[in-house]
Amino acid sequence: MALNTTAPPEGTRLAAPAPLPTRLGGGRAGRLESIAGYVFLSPWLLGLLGITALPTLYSLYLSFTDYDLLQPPHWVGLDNYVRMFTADPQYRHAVTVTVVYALVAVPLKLATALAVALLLDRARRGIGLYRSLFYVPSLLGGSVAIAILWQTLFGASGAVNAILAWFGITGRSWVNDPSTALGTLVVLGMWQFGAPMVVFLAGLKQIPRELYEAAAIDGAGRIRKFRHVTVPLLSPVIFFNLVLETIHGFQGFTGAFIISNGRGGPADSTLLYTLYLYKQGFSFFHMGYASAMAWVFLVAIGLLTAVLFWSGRLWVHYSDDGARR
Amino acid sequence: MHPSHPRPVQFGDGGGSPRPRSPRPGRLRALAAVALSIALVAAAGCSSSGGGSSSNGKTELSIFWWGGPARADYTQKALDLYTQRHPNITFKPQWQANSGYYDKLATLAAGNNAPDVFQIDDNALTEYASRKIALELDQYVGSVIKTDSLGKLQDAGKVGGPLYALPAAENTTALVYDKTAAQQAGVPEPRNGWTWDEYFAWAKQISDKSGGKVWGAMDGSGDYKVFNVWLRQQGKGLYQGNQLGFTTQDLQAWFDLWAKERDAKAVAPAAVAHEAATGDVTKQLVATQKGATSFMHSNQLTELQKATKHEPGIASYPGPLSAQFVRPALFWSVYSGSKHAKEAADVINFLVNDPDAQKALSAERGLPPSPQVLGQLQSAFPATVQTVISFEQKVTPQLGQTPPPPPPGHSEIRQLLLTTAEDVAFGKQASAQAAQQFMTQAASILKS
Repeated sequence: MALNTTAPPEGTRLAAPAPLPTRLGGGRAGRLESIAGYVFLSPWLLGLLGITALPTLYSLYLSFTDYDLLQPPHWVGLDNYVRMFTADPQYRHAVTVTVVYALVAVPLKLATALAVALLLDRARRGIGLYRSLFYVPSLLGGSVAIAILWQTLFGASGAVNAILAWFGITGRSWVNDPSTALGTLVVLGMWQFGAPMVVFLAGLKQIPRELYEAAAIDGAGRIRKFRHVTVPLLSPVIFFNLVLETIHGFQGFTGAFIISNGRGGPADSTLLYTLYLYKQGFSFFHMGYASAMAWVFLVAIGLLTAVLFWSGRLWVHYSDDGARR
Repeated sequence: MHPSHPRPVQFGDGGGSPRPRSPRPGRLRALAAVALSIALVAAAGCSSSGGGSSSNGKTELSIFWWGGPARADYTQKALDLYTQRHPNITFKPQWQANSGYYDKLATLAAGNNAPDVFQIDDNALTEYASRKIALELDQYVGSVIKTDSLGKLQDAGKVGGPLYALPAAENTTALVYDKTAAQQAGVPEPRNGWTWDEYFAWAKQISDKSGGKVWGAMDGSGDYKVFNVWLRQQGKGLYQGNQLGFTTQDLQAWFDLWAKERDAKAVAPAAVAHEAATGDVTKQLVATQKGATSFMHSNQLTELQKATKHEPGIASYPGPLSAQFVRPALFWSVYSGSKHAKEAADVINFLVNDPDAQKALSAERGLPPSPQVLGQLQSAFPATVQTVISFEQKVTPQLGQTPPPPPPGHSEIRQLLLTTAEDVAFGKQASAQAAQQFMTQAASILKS
């Protein structure tokens, strides 16, 4: 994602580059190359169709049926969708919990990632080691093993309470209390800030130092520099991370499933949408209803992503705007 | 320009060395052919392993159950015994904790991959029978399977007529208590047939004397077993046929009873109780020594003993004994899609009726359902089982009639009761509102 930061001065235009010689679309050799391309693509293409596209379409069909996994589905039309929006209080609760989780966890995670990236954006001995160390949690974080560990860590007799005891605070059982159980999931999400942090680091490196120097000459302090140089030039990266992490946040499942023992946590406080979907589909044999939930989810996330993209026009600055748009 | 997909991050300049020239078309075709054939072979080569496989006369049966390590040891011994007697049949055992067991079983069944033999209890038997996952065993009764030896539990595995499962063991509901904790608090041990008031007064004493470290009672408000017994003591029951057997007022009174005792500190608070509500023996309050009593089943004493250093004791649930009953603790079923149904049926008959098998199983799932086998083996069982046997012998004459297995939807209602009770316990809902909401949702679950 190289940013072209030096726009050509107005009034001059570089000569349009000569068209690259291309072999595609020209004669037999070109066609053979296309065929070869598809052949090499075929394993992945078959996987995309067989494992992703076709089952997704099948689940759309299932969402209009009553299907208990063991007997053939029978058609019920829009019943599942109607029930979802009118007769299922747990559904509304799951949506609320998921939205709250995403609204809290995603900004916190991105803020942490940016803060640490800013700290690590300097050339120093051993900086590579620090970057790797901060990145490691995001490799392991989504796993079942870490979730099990988390459940123990934040339990009544876990390490967190042991540390708090040094300061004389008696901690409660964080995972078994409905007011804090979701918080432990948020912390688990925040802990995996390594991946967006690495992307932020890359983005920070693209910002030319001269701009900072120019800002310093103009009398800008650290905060001004951050607000007026770093953020605008980093905005495409922020946007990228925001979209990805929002989608990721809404899809959270493993942590909630393990920490709540598959039930949605004390008094349904960790009943994320995906967890409720899983319960409906696999524990209660309502696979048709679960499929309907999945499609509503897809549409909702699609809309949210579209809104994010639309909002991007307002605050994301691509430096090659003048030349491209 | 939209960033469309995560690309590898590129540091430094993007210019690279000139591209190598692509190979000639003939060589390209050869490469493509090789790549395609490898892909096809790899795709075809994946085969799923499921169910039993037989080659050169040997049959391998897959068997699945839930429980703890103790149960796994005993079951393995029984299976080894069977293989000794029938060398051409071997087993592929699989076991896990109760939490998530049915999810996994349902998924395996949906993939036509369910194990040949699986453990099931009366919570799910009706559902699995009506969905035809469990095989109808009537065809084997009299030949491969014997049911007339099973005494009171002869018809226990029947759902709407046909037999779908054999009772693996029998037990009763039992209050497991921490003898050591009772001694430390200087209170007498629980009695069979004492009243609920006596029970809560006893529990309060323990909570007070331990300074809140050991709670006298586990929160039973979300436990369908305790609720069922309490209802039966009033002449009602959890279910009446395929409908609920109680009213909103009953449920509200139930929640209020526990709320009162929680406030009086006799009963463990919501957060502590929540940990223990998973059904896992090792997480029960008596096992973690956070509570002095837990509502369990009589056979779980063995597993519990392994989980705690304190000495556990066993008594009946509070209230009149006539409301409690002997029940089929667990069943063994055969998968309807099993390719070795006859062998599987023979295996479950062995596990249920054979004295040597029951001896190897050490009554960890419960007592042998066949009175004759129980009489034969009584003295051979270890000490904890002797405790259970003497407890059951004391109470059985006073116990009431075994109710039929619950209707389909019971597993959902069970979870709904737990969630609703926790809502009340955590103060998220008033008991009246919670009871009303439960009744509405339960009615719609039973209807569907």
